[in-house]
Amino acid sequence: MNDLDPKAQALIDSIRDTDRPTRHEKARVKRRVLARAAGAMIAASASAASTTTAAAGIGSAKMVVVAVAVSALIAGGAAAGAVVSRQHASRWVTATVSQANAPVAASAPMATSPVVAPMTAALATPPETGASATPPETVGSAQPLATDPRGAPPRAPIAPRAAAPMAPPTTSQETLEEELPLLQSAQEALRLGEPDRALSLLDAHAKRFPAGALAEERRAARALAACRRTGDPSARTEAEAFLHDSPSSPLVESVRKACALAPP
Amino acid sequence: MSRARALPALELGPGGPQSSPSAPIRAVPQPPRFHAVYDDCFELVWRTVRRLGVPNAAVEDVVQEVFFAVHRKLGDFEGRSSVKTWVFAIAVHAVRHHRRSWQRKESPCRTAPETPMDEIPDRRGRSPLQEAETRDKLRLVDELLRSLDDDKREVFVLAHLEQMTAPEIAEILSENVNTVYSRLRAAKEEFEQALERRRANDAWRGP
Repeated sequence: MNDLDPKAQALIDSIRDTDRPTRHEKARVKRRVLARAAGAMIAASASAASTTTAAAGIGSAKMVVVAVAVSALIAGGAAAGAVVSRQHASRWVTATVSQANAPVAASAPMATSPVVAPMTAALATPPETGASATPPETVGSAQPLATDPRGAPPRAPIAPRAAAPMAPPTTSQETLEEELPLLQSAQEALRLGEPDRALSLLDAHAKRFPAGALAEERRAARALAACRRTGDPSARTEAEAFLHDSPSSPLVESVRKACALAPP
Repeated sequence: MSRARALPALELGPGGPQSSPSAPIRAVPQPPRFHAVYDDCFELVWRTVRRLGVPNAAVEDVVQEVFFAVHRKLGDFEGRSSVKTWVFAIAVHAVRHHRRSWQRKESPCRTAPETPMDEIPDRRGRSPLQEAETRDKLRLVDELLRSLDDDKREVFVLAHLEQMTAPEIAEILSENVNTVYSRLRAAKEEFEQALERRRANDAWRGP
């Protein structure tokens, strides 16, 4: 296939395997990807909570729209393209390089109007990085990460593997991959309107990963779950404690909205 | 339900829905696990993103975008192409998008020149002399690649650096195979001519 001349070929051969990422870089990017996936899930839960509240007539329509917009932004926001910053390797923040990380499919509805996109798809669909070798999906058909892609009705809870008794892991970086399914299950419970089950899953996470890489996300999810549980006296305390301890978390606004806390 | 679709990778495993004893026994193709795909493709993606011209400061973010998309879409992977081709397609589109937004928007990347590939630190314990030679070659290849336009650079990198076949490249780029051959021929000629010019200039300047 269009072989190069010998000189050019020799040059190419000599550098083909020269630039390699370090193991540290490989591990760091993986942490960022998984943390971002976890953040997108929790933010999606927050949005689902806001939606339910609005549907019950408790919240105002305006609040829902704002919550959706904020959550879409946080969710990895096709609109704004959240990226995990280099400085927050296990966290994720919205970055000003929004367009650089926004969907490649610029014409996709999410790219221009996340608020009017289908709720679940909008909130659980991270930026579309590009077309794939398989036929590109439409944004409207995108599925939340933890839902059944076959379009089946909500199914019975799935016992998370990470909840099984196991020896405590050592460091938070090592646990990230194990933590994610557990938070994913909690997110699914929140999405299905089962805050009690979500809280028990989050308790399991706290017990197994007290200082896990996703501890901040767990606390945000706890606050969201508590706020969804009617009459939970700990809800406000949970939410305020989270806002106090993690003021720079991208989940702050989600928690504030879901728990009807006034901005500072 | 017209056809079985695989679940997202993170939902698979013991205790998952597919292990239900009441489920009919049938061969359900399962998508590859994210962690396996990551391990297999990370280095390729990293290298390709760099070679397609993403500035060093942005490489990590672009690679992150690639694998975030892989993570999200893996459950939809249907095995019509190889995983490698599928991931490469995502990577190429991510680089294109980065390039467009870099050109369109004010950003730190806009004024930053593309990072020469020779700035990559040596990571395999070469001697100082070998390292210097490698840097010179990387700098030269980088300069030659920059002389190609984006379309030609893509096919050239995929064909000659990543050693992919024309049909694979056509699939990645969503192009006709003949278009790929044509573009590759032009890229090859331009690359070789640029190399000849560079060597002629070096010879004229002398040692």
